[in-house]
Amino acid sequence: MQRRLAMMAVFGGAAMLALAGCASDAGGDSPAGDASASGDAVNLQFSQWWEVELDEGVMRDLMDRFEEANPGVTVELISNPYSATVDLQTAAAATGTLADVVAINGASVYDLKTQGAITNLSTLMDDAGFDPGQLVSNDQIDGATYMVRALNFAYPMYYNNDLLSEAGVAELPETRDEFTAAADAVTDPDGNVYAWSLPINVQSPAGFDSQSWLWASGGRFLEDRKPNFETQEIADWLEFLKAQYDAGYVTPGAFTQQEQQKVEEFTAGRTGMMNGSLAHIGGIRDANPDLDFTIGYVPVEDGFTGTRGLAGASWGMGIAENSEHKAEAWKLVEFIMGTDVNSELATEATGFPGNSESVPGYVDGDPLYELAFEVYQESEFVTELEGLPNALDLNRNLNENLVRLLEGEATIEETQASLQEYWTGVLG
Amino acid sequence: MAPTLVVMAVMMATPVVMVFVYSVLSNVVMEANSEFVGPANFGTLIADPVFRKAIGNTLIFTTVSVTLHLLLGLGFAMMLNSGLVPRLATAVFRVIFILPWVFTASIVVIVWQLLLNPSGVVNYLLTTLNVVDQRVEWFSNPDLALLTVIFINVWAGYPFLMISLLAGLQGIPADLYEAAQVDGAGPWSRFFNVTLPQLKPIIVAMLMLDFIWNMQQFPIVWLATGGGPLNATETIATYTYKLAFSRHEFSMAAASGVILFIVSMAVALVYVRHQKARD
Repeated sequence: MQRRLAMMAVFGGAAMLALAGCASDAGGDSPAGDASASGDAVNLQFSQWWEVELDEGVMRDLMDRFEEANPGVTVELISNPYSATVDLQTAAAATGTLADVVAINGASVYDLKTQGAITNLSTLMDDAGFDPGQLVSNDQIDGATYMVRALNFAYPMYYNNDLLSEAGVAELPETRDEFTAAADAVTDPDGNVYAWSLPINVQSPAGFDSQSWLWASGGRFLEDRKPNFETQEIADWLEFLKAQYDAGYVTPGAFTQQEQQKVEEFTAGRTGMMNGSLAHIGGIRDANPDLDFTIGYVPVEDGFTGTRGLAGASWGMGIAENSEHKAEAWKLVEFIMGTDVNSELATEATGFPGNSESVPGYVDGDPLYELAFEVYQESEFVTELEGLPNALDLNRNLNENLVRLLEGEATIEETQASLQEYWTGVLG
Repeated sequence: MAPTLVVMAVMMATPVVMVFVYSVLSNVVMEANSEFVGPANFGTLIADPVFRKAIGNTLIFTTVSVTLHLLLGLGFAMMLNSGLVPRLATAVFRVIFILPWVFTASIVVIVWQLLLNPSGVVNYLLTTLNVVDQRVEWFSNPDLALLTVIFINVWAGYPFLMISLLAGLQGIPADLYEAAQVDGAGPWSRFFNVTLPQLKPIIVAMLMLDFIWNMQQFPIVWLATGGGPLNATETIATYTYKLAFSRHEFSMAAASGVILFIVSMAVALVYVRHQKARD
């Protein structure tokens, strides 16, 4: 009898542990604003993925300088990879234990605001006498700012000069037709060389490999923040992607390929072209110093004459609603947005500064970065999905529909209708 | 006793009760004033074809994984216990066989992604040896993805059963084998009439535990395919994760968790009944 009871307890425990995993959990984020009980000492928690992506010591050095400039305030960095940071923040927001300062981006700001987890920064800016005019962009939800963009990241096209010249492609493609001709020339399945990668996985739909082609030619998913998929521009875009895939120009494994694998394919010289963040330049050079590559625009539809769209993402910051040290937290945000510090951060991360007066140090002297800066300045920076509710889920749904289309399980019209229906359900 | 009860109440009972409560409310966390909706969340789940597909995939994933864990675990355990292999070689094999279990799920998946990538070693060998004409998309082909994920899970999980069964094998008295041999029993007869009956309690317990663990397997599936492509590898665990962390439908995620809990408890009850009948 005792043995049965013991076994019952073991199995019951195992099953309960499974279920317990579904309950909200703050993960690594402990209660915010946990200031030292003695004196005026304040300990700020800063949850972010930046430290993981920057060179070792960069973030800590910035925080040390902030602490030096603000005696009595210390900063504890809570660093995790991007996806883990987002998951922890979702859980922490649900349990009211979000860190004082949180690194966020446009994909999560709306949901955190809806949960009441992040505070209205417009009020803090007013209290501190901060001029929002010095921000490159001041995105607002319901008339208030909830996220300050520290950095913007542009997603231009990368071109492998060697592969293109070997294939007889003398000029970088400017239009989709020219791109198709270049893709056809470059692709050599026997040599394991393909034109480009289209990672449309569902676990971390991070890049803009499909969207960039639409946005470059002025097309958009939304009109007045409402889904608008049943247009000719969308149909042409889907047809272009389908034709590229069916012709075999896209690297095999697209349906589960991830951003990093795409970059590895390009770095190894197995793809001729790639849409990707400027932040990859340093990594590609480190991993394969011999790779001869350049930066250019995303090709547009034939006959397009408007301003080219350039996909972008951001590193933003928000402050927890439950923080007991909002004023100090804002000081940290303001410090990072300072002209010099923001320039420094942009240089380290290879991004574009969120402060309109900051200039990243990498621009001077490096032809590739100068070219990238030129592409950035002459394009319209498109962040269409940022600030939308369930932005990650919408991206995931987009990829699911693209897989269905490319796999031949849905027509272009069915794909448009499916996207329109799902996105309307989320956005109204 | 009291501290144990307190720890169990806080660490296990409270979250479980919360999840049960969440499952019958309208979208908790995201709604300030959630309302009681009864079994509506369960009805919505059952009506979702993706959830039904996830149940089917979970059953296939679990059943095949557990079966292969047992066969591989038992096979390797018997080999290590047989005495046919020299002692030094046994020690080396023991380390090699247990290696998959030492790696974390993320390392396991990264290793196999590198090997099975369209540009990876496995495809290189297969195409070079003319086994296949084109590179195989192990993860991206909807017809192969579930089998590939099961293969990785089997590779990562068999050492636990192997170690448990090896301990059981070493506990079987040599007298039983000697007596069977005197009675003229051959190797197969000794296996079926001595080894298996002696191992049966361990095998049944391990199978039940492995079944529960595999039903909840999340990291390997998520890191390898995320449930895709076309829901080919969607399991209840990945489906639940997407509900909570992508769609922010926490009550629906709780309902999905409750269903998993009930199935796990049902397996546990089957085991208890089995033990009762045996006693």
